[in-house]
This record gives sequence, structure tokens and C-alpha cells, in this order.
Amino acid sequence: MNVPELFTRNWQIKLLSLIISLLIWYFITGGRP
Amino acid sequence: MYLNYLRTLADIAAVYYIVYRLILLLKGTRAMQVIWGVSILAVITAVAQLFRLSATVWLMQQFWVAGMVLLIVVFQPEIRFALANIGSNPLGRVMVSQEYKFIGEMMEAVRSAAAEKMGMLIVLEQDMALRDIVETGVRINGEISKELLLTVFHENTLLHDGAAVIANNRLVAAGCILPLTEQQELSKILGMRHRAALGLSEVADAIIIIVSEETGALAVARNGKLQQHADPKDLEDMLYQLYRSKAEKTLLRRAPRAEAQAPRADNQSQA
Repeated sequence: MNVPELFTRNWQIKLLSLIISLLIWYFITGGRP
Repeated sequence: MYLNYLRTLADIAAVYYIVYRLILLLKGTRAMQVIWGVSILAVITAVAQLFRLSATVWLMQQFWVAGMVLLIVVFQPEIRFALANIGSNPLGRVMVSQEYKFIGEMMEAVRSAAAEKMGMLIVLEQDMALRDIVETGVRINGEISKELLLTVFHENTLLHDGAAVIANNRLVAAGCILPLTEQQELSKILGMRHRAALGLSEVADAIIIIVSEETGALAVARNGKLQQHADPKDLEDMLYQLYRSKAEKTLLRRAPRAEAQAPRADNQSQA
């Protein structure tokens, strides 16, 4: 698996995961690092 | 200061990876529909919390307590599978490689059958389930081994006349009856075994391997086409490639079905 493929494959799922993880992080920490 | 940001980034990255893996594990299973429902409820809870809607938040909290227990009970098999998968290998490759061990055993049986001119008719189920075909034979549901296949097709046994169906890496049934092809132009030399193989390949996406009783020649039928005098080595390579790509497809669910089938057709013509 080369690098561009790593980013393009399943990109919808990756985007969804990113959004979910950001939401989780936001609600757990309240947005403070 | 920077350490704090770095820690946050690592935190988000870890959560992202876990969420991504979870979605991959659950995608395509019935759990996914439930996950969608749960996500919508999660969004409602989050919105309610954001706007401080106390009554809605209370109701949602009651659901989360009872709902989580319910979900664990309902999805106990899926959870067990997911945990076993993580335990064996994060990528699940170990499991996959064991899954196509049967190809080697089967090809060994095919080679010795060809050498001894023992008739053989093996159906490899693909995406289309062959329940009707399996019903016509005798259920075996055994682990595939060279010995088992050679025994099933030994001419003094009751099951040797039909087809053996292989699905999910197991010998599901033997002595199965396949539909015969209607093709008239088929060579007169080809016997019932080849006609049956071709007949099934016209109505299902299965791969059918035939060893001729008269010549010991190996043939493969797929998508209504018969490849005669196939090379065992080529066939084995093609099968490994096919099952590997199928396993990856199941694992990553990356390609739509149509795309995944196109290279398979190419492989078929090479075999």
C-alpha cells in the first residue's frame, strides 16, 4: 500500500472517523487541550 | 505548552484510529444499522447537552444505561468476533492466511485425481449462495483435506457421482446434482460432468473444477465458459489470488463488487 492509496482508500470512513473522534474529544475535554 | 498540544493531537489520533477500525469491523454487518441508530441518539444527546435541555438529557441518559446493556446482549456474537480478531492480529491477516489453506489441500487432491484419472467435480461457492445445490446432495460440513476429497470421489463410494460443494473453506456437501447446460455446440467428447459444471456456471458465480475421468485433464468452468486443459499451477495461483483479494475486500470493504470482479475475469482467462 503506497502513501496516496493510504489516504484515498475508504476516505469517507476516514472522514467520518475523524469527525466522530473530534466530537468525542470535544465532549470529553470541553475543547480545552 | 507545545507538549499539551502534542498530547491532544496524540489523543485525537488514537481515538480516530480506534473509531476507524471499529467502523471497518462493523461495516456491512447488521450491527452497522444499529450503530447508525445509536449515532443519531448520540447526536441528539450532544445537542441536548449543548443547549442544556435537562429533560431530554435525562431521558437520553436513561436510554444509555439500559440501551448499552441491551446492545451488549444483542450483539454478543459480533463483540466476541471483534475481540478475537483484535487478539489474533490487529490486521486480521493471520486469520485470513489460515482461511485459504484449503486451496493447497484441494489442489493436491486435484493433482492426484488427474494423475489417476479419477473423475472429480468440485464447486467453489462465491458470492452467490448455493443452498439449492447443497440440498440435492449429502451434507458433510467437514474440514477440507486431500484425503477427504479423494475418498469422496473414489469410484466405489456412493457420493462420487455428484459434485462436492466447498463454501466458507469447508466441504459443505457431496453428491450434489448440478443443472446441465443447454449449450448444443459443446463437444461430444465432453461428458455429463463437464455439462453439469458448465450448467451451474451459467446460473451462478461459482467456480467449478472438473477432472475428466477419461483423460485426467483438468478443466475450470466459470461464468458460462469452460476452460479446458487448465494448468494446475495456474489454477492454484488464480485461486490464491482470488481468495486473498476477497479476504482483503471483506477486511477493508474498499472496492465495490463490480470492480472486484473485473480482475477475476482476467485471471480466469489466464488459467
